[in-house]
Amino acid sequence: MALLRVENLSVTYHSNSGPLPVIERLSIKMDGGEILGIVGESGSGKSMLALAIMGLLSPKMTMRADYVNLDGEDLMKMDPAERSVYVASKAAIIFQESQSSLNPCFTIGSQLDETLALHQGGSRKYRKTRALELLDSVGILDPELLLKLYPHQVSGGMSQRAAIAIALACKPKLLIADEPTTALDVTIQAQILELLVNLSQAEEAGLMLITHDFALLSENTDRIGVIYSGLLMEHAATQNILKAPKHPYTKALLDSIPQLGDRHKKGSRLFALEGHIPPMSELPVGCRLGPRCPKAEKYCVKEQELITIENHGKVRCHLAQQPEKNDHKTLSGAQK
Amino acid sequence: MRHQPQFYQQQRIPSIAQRRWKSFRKNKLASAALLVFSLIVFAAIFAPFIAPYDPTLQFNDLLLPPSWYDEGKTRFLLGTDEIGRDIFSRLIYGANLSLKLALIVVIIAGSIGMSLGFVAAFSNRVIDQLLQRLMDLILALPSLLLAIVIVAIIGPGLPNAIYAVALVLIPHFVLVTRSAIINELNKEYVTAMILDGAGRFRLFAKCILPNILPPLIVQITLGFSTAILEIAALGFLGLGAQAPNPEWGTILSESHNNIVNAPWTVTLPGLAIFFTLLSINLLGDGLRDALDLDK
Amino acid sequence: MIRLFVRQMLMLLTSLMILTFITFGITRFFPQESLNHISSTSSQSNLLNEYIFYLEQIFNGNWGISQAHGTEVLDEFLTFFPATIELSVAALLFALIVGVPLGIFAAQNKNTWQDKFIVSTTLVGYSMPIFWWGMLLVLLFSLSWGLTPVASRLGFEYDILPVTGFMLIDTLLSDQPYAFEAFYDALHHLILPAIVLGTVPLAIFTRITRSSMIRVLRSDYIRTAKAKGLSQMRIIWVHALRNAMLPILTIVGLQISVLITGTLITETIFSWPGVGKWLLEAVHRRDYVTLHAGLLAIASIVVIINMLVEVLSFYANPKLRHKR
Repeated sequence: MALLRVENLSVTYHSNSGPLPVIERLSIKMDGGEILGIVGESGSGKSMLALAIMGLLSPKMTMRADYVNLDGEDLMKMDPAERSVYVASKAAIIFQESQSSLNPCFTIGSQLDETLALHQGGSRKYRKTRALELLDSVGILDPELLLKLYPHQVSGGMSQRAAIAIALACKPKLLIADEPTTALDVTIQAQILELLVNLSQAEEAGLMLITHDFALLSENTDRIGVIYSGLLMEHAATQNILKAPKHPYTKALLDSIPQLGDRHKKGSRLFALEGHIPPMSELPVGCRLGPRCPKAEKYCVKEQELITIENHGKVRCHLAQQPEKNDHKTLSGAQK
Repeated sequence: MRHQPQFYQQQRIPSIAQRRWKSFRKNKLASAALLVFSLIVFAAIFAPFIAPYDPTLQFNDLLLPPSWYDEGKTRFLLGTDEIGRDIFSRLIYGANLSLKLALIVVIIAGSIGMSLGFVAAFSNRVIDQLLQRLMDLILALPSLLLAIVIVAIIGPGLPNAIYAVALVLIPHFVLVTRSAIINELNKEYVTAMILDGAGRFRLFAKCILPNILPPLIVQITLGFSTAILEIAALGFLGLGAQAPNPEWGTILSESHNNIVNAPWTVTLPGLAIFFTLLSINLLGDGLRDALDLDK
Repeated sequence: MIRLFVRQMLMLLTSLMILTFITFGITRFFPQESLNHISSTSSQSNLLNEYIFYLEQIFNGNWGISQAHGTEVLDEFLTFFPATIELSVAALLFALIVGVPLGIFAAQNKNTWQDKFIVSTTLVGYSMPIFWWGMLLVLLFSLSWGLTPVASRLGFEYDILPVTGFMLIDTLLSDQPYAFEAFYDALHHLILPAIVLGTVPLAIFTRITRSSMIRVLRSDYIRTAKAKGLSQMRIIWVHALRNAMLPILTIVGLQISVLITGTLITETIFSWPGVGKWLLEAVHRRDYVTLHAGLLAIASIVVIINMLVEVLSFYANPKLRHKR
């Protein structure tokens, strides 16, 4: 049975000048133990997806969905208090800034203990052993010491490990990591990522890895969802996406990754998509990518639907149905 | 050359002052406060033309209630006090006096305080630290207590009260000026300007002054309201303006005894002080928001 | 921690030093005959010798004899001071107990009409001249509705032996049959002056709590606390308030001197037999000995309290506590 099923999730931001769409009709599915990568530029709404699932949207945002099914229960049918308790017992989230996501006035030990007490209970002594185990499992060398330290006293990598330990304290079935390594040094990034993947595999928990960096996802994920401007653009198995990306946007993202060693062609320039992600208030007509798309054509001013491509996945681009080499001119008529 | 067709709509970019004014106007409360304060200033400036009588002129009608009461007379709009003076005239002249005194206090305290703050910001550590400690200490002293001791030494009366209140206000100006300048000096564009070879004067005039102006303007507004309050408090305690003077605090202390049989002699002067302070404070809040100090 | 303590002590000593410079300087403007006790009499005295002599006298507790009562001025100060403390502490508690929850409530309901109402009310309170506010409340509560006593600390019908000087404690310590009645009467007398004195601090605390709380509620660690599934109560009162209190603590320290300024006026309005009233009478009598003693004593106390608050806020803030 699926661990997480989200159907037609929309998030709306209620600005002073009217409602703006942050995420529109997004559907995803995750199984236990699966690693799903969500990739997109900053401002694409990928973090909002995480916050919406966790029920952490700011009061100025509202969400709608046919259902958000987490481990067998539909979150949309719960009232807010009930929902936050349920979600917290099933899912945990790790943020980009681990330093500021820990309360500066309490020791790491007390923040870890608080979560343990809430979700697992047990005596003070039992919780202490659990806390030490957890810190040990996230690769902290001196857990006893870390328990007594305040967040500002440890390095960024260390506090991210502590944040992961706190997240694991509720034995989550689903772990969401929102840009977990962006704020860290490059050498530590790899360690933390490996840790997250290993831990989720060991606990058979689902891991949702949200990032702007395609390179991080390529080696670790089972499937990848590409989000642009609040819409799911492509959703397929990782090897399919890497081998043969169907959406121009996915292609553009992959082409913008620098290649090293043999794969690097001398004198070639890194690909960069022109322009920037449109603000929510000035969305283009039709395909959201239209104005930036290298393959844009007349038909793109029409609203694009997600279409299922055999042996691949889902793509929100009418070009995806055609063989790669086909001339674009012949497409527009044949489509409808 | 061919005439270029105009493709884009002409868009005038508003100046900083225009934008700030616009954002100030958006704040309805502050705009209303500006209006009220302007009215008070107007009344203060043209007091001799607006007030129907001389503020010390005594009539035979003692403790007459305001004109909307049955016993009131229309010639005394807000009634009379215990020796038959027209309250309306006294309050109008009081506005004149209070604003004038507060202005003098702010000018004295502001010029001394800002100069000291300037010195502290640009001088060496020792002088800066000493000045800093001294100002912290004066700030820690209860302002009214200090004013009372000063008045006790040089004697009660208006000019002395002004000196006392001015002295109490100086530290605020010093600290605000100093921290604003130091804040600005640490920014990178200042470093860039020094690297460009700007001299000290140019650096100050072109670079620092425009940027420390907003906090100083807000401090001046705050100082103005504090000055009015403290002068009135000294007047109320009998240490500021003396008896026949139509100073608001003094009027209040005179009418203290009539609170039961003639409550209007207490409420009206109080309302005058209150609305003046409220409008200035609202104005200061609005300015702070418009000048973007919090961000 | 020890280093911090030593540093604070040094700061305190410098402050007190500068304070004695000021008071010493002020005494030089006083008429000569009023200060015989603290000015050195030797003929070849220079300024330094005089200052040292002055310090000696101050430290020996020889603060002079008050002109009005003919008693040791330091003793007199100590008899009046508890009444002032009682009033100030009551006002401070009132301001904190009402202001902090109000600020939290406003922050939680940011931009609603309740929030806007609270913010405008604080502006009104902030602009209130307390000498007028006091008279107004007396007019309403005491004279019109007869709810509270007009003046003084206790009804005349009670005879309470001053032990600590704090009326609330003394009435309870008293072995008179009406001890409890007297306690309630003392409380009854305290309410209105405390409200008057606490109004401006209340407005300030509410505003500071609100803005501090809004900033904290926006922070990442509150989002984490929500993600953990903690109850709303625990998030607000433990996780958020602990952080939001840090700036409030600093403001409380700064309010001490504002509070003392207010007591001068409040005591006058309510005939409260405290230091404020004592000092004002001294001004009118030109009793320089009393004035000097009052200024020095109150200023030292304020400086010491400020230092204590600073140490406390250091201790309450882990970020500062562990900085070397």
